[in-house]
Amino acid sequence: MAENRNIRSDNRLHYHPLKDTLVILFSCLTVASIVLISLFTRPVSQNSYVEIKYGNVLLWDKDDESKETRISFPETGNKVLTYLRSDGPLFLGEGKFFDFYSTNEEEPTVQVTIYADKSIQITKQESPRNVCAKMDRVYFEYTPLVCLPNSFQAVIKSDSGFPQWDN
Amino acid sequence: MKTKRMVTLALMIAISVAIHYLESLIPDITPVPGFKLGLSNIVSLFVLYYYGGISFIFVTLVRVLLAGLISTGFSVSFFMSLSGAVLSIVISLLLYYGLKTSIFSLSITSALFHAIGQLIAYALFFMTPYIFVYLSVLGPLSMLTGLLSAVLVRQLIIRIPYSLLSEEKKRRC
Repeated sequence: MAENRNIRSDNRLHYHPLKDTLVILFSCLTVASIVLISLFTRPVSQNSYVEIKYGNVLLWDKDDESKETRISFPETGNKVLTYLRSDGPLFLGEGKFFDFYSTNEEEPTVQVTIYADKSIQITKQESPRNVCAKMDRVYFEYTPLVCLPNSFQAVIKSDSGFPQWDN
Repeated sequence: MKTKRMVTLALMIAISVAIHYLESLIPDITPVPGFKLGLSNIVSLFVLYYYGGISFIFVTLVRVLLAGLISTGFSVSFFMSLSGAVLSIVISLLLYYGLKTSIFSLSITSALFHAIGQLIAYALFFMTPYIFVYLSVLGPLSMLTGLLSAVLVRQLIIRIPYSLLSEEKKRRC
C-alpha cells in the first residue's frame, strides 16, 4: 500500500483547476475556429450539383454520354447512380478496377441516390463499419459523404467561387 | 531495452490491438466518419504514465501499424489513423513533459487533436477541405471519449499493484 501511495500522489493524476481548464479551453477554441472557418468559407449556394469521386478521380453518370462530372439533380423523384467494381476501366483506364471492399461473392458496388429536393445519399456500399451508408440523406453543401476504405466520396457543391462568405 | 520492459511493452501492444479489434465489433454510436471510441488509446495512455514518452510513441505507432494490417491494410483509413496518432502523440508529449497538465486535460486534448489529425489526412488525400465541418460533431464526441479514457487509465494506475512495474517506475522521469 505504501508503494501504491507513490503513484496516487503523482501530481499529473489530479485535476489542476486553472492549468487544465485553460488547456481544455484552448483546445475547444482551436476546434471551434476550424469548424467556423470551414463553415463560413463554404461557397454561397447558387446552382448546386453533385460531385462524386473515387480517390482523386471525378466520376460521372454512366448513362450520361457527355461524361459531365458535375452531376445535376433530377427535376422530380430521384436518380440512382450505380458504380460496379467492373466499371473501373471506364473511369480509371484500361485494366483498372474500383477497389471496393466486399465480404461476399457478389460484385462490390457503391450506389449513390440523388434526390430532386437537392439531397444525396449513399444507398448501397459495403465496408467494415458502413459509416457512409448509415449517414442517411445529406442536404448540406460541402458536407461530403465519405466511404472508407472504398475511397469513395459524394458531395453537393455549388457554382460559386471558393472561398466566399455565407449570406 | 531490458527483457522485462520489452515483454511488457509487447504485451501492451497485443492488448491494444485486441481492444482495437473488439471495438470494431461494437456498433457505431453515431455515423460520423472517423469516429471511434478509441478504447485502445487507454493502453497508450497507460504506457505514457508508466514507461514514459519513448515507450508511448513505440506502442502507439506499432499499434496503428498492426491494426492497419489486420483491418483494412494500408488504405486511406490507415493514413488517417497514423496522422491522428502522430498529432495526438505530439500534443500528449507537449502536455506531459512541457505543461505537466493532469491526465484529464491531456487525454481530452489528445483525443481532440487525434480527430483533427485524421481529418487533415482525409483533406489532403481527397483535396476536400470541407471535411472539417465534421469536427462540430467529432469534437464534442472526442472530448467525451478522451475523458472516459482518462478516468479509466487513472483507475488502472491507482489499482494495478505498483510492485508489478516498480522496476520501470524508478526509471520514469
